[in-house]
Amino acid sequence: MEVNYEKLSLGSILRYLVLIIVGLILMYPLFWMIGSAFKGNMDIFGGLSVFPPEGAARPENFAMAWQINKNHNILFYFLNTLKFLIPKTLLTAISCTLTAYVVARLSFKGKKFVFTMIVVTLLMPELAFRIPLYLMYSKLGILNTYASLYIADLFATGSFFIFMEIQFMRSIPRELDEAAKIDGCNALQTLWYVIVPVLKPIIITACLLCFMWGMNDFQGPLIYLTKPTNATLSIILKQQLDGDAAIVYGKVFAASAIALAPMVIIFFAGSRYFVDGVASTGGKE
Amino acid sequence: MPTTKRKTNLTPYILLAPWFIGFVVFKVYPIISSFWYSLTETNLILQETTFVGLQHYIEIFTTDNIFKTSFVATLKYVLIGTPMVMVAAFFIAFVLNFKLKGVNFFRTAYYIPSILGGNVAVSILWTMLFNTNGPINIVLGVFGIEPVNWLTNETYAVFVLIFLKTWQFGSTMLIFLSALQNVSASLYEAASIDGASKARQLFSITLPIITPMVLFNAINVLVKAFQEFNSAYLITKGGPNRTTYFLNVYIYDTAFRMNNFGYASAITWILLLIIGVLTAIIFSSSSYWVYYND
Amino acid sequence: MKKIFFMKNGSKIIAAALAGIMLLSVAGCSSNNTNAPSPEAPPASEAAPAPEGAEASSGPEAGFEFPTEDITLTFSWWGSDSRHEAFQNVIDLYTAKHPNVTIEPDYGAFDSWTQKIQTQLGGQEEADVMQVNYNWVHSFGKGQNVFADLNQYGHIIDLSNWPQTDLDSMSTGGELGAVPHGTNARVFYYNKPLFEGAGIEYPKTYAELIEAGKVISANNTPTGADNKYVHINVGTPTQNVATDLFIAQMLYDKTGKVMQENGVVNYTIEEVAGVLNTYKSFEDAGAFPTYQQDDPIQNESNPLWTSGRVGSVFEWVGTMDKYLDSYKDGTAKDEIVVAPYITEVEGQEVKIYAKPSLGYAVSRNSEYPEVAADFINFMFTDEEAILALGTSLGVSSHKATREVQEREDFVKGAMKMGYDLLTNYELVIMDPYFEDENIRGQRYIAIEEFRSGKSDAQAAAKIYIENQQAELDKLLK
Repeated sequence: MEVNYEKLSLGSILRYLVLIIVGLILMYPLFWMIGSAFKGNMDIFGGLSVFPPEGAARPENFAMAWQINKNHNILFYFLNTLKFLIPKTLLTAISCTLTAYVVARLSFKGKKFVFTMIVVTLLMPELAFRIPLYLMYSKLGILNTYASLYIADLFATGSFFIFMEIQFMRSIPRELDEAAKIDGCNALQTLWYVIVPVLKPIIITACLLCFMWGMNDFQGPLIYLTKPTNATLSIILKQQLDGDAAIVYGKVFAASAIALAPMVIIFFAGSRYFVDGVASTGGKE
Repeated sequence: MPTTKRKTNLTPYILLAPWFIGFVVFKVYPIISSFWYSLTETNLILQETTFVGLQHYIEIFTTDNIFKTSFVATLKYVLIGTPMVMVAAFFIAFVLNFKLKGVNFFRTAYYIPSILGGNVAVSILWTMLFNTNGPINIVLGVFGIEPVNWLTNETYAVFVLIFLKTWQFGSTMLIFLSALQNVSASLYEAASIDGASKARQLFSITLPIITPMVLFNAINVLVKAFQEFNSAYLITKGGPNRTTYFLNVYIYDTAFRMNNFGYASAITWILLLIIGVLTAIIFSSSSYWVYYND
Repeated sequence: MKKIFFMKNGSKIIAAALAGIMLLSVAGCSSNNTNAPSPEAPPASEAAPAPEGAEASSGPEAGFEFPTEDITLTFSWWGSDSRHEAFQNVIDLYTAKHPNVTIEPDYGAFDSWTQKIQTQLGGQEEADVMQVNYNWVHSFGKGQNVFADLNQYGHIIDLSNWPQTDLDSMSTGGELGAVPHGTNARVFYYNKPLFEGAGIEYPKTYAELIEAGKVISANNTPTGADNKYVHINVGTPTQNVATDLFIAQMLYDKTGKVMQENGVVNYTIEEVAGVLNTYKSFEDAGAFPTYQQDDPIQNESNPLWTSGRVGSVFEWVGTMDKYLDSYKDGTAKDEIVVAPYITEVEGQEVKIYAKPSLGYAVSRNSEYPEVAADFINFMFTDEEAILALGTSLGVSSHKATREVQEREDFVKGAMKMGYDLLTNYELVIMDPYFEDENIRGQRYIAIEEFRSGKSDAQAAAKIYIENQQAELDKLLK
């Protein structure tokens, strides 16, 4: 793609200025968090500096945050989080891609209904399902299992991802499907050999988003997982703010930074997919 | 592409089976069961359910002052927060749409907060930022503004949460940006030749063309805002005086603190209806302001 | 058992669905058959935690035979670090004695503990042994017991160790929901150096409190970080236990009537409004921080308390340890003392709200209720366990525990002063629903609206009485 960059004019200087100021506003909190993770309680408030005062850096905050409580280190809770996140992400990717494919590419009676229902459920607040599902899971006896956080994803309940993939699939030429059909591929094979390779970026985006949102989910684990042994990162972070003998803010910040680090790493690793993928959710309609 | 078929091809239905099961078991059934619960007095600990009819709904609309407060708080958050996210997202997308060097860097950087924003860690961070002696007050102090007790101030507390929401404009911005990039350059060229000013072009070309994206984003942001939980629960704990006691927090409290699942379900249903009605209004009004190219 | 069935059925459904999908793809694409798509198998779901052991064979009458198989119990409690450590030690002692028993701890701060326990109870996921608050026994089931009836385990827990009144107040619907550790009441702990430094006595009356406020807060600023106060009531607006109890005690002192009696709120709007205005006068004088001056940290870590910038707190005598530990990092416990209740008139005879504290309950869904009961009994009767618990729970009303506590001279310093002080007063057990979340939640609302200036005393008093009454009516209907 060829880009004709603007010459450095007053207008573009102004634009850079806006971008830099907005960037600073957006990034400062995160840098302040990382900086404060190295500070003692006294140095955190009362100043704007990101860096701890000379000689007052407390890297031991990270050691404290790592061994976040007496029984487990923070890795334990991170692994707990992965125990539902990985199945959740994989199941979402598989079931939603399949569903999106059927709706976008196959013709069948009732298609309009299915698509409408996907949009309707997309707009329905997740919260509407939390409590009834809690009751259902309770009856099924799967509360306090990680399955309670991903079982629904096996059944393509991630309407957002289905919608996103349908939108994206519209831009894939139908001739590809036709060709595959002539080659004797059935629907599933067409999906796997023809559509999925083209769809890869959007599937990766879906996986990344699903993963990140799962990391952020707090209400779900709060309701479905209530055992100390299955607490997730978000739960254990929240506990840092509950009454302890003494709140060491540096430790809380360090724990927060540790918790966000994997997300930032994953974000940068996948950012090229992310940025384009999210942009395409708007679709080209 | 209509193909002639003698017999119905079963393949699509078989492939749709997982979705259909999910739809029935994890969407339709919960919604219906939640409506049933909303008509009952349910003490989950005792495993007791008694049918009470519309009593909860009547109570919500007559004597429940907390619902009113909570509803107003939620509405305030949604109605101020949504436009703020939209404006910030559009403005930045607009600036990024100029072909500047390093746009990709900014685009990526701006997106980070929208990924992290919902995390508990960020809520903790926000609590600290808005501490009476925290950075926000120090910055304001530079401009001679007296320190504000953000989290206990009835007027400002909700804005702390709205700022957090606005901070996460990244994904909305990306959708705008991709829409802007799809606006054909020839349209602008034609307009320039006709002597239309840049501002004029913005209002008569750019905005109309991206109205479908405005619709999409608005609904997206709105529906999410209505369900806000983390920030209100963690940062302000619903206070002060319940000015940030959003419906989702109220529902959670009613169910798990007050042990009243029937009532919680009734509030959920009302919230569902409010979101439904608002979405419907936006959708039906869209024919007046959304510009469809094709 | 339901659990196991579901998991089997569930995986069958999953397998069937997958098989269906696979079948479709078997028929050949002309090439590449070897790479036929095989959808990822779903990861094995976490097995439902349902140990298959049968109910312990021996009934209550048959006496208790300790199971020999490996068993795991969970024990949940709230509290601060000192309690966490103490209970952890007790667990170690018990499992050393019974190597086939594993006890998993589940603990945290009280902040959101009630929600967590109710979430667990609602899903029948609660711990086998739970530390419970007095009102839980009554509120959760609205007058029905939701825990195991401990009367059934009288052969394991010797109930004669408790005064009957304690057992009565932990009973509901004819069942004993929990056994309490002791009796608890709130007392004033004073920071001696702060008063000595200011050259004033501990206030005995409201008027003296106001005078002390003027002295101690002389250099305060509206939001100053170095402000000093005579007293703080520790609590967040939505869980403002100390302020609530402080005001409740003021009302009791003033009217001689308890908060609720037979489901009726006992006060008039004038009485409540009057007390609220008096409370406000303490804040106005700088004796208490105002709503705007409250620190965001509202527990024993409150910086005013830990750094010694506040003269007193109003806290449970039984859990005083955590305040002693956090005050100047636990380095100056002897600087904390206790003094009589502040009243309107000097020497006024008042009755003090008290409650059975820190009960232990057994889950109805426990696989091993006898072992759970045995563990509770162990905490009260095993010497080492009593020593390990020390005073982290306060003085016990259990006879055997108390004997050890007294013999070892455990209760000393400020805590002893606190309990000694209480012997000068008549203690009145609060209504079971006094601390019900729905009911006291209404008082919190009224208090917050008043303190923040949203409602005047009359309006707040109206909420205080009418909303509380409405919740009581709902509860008792």
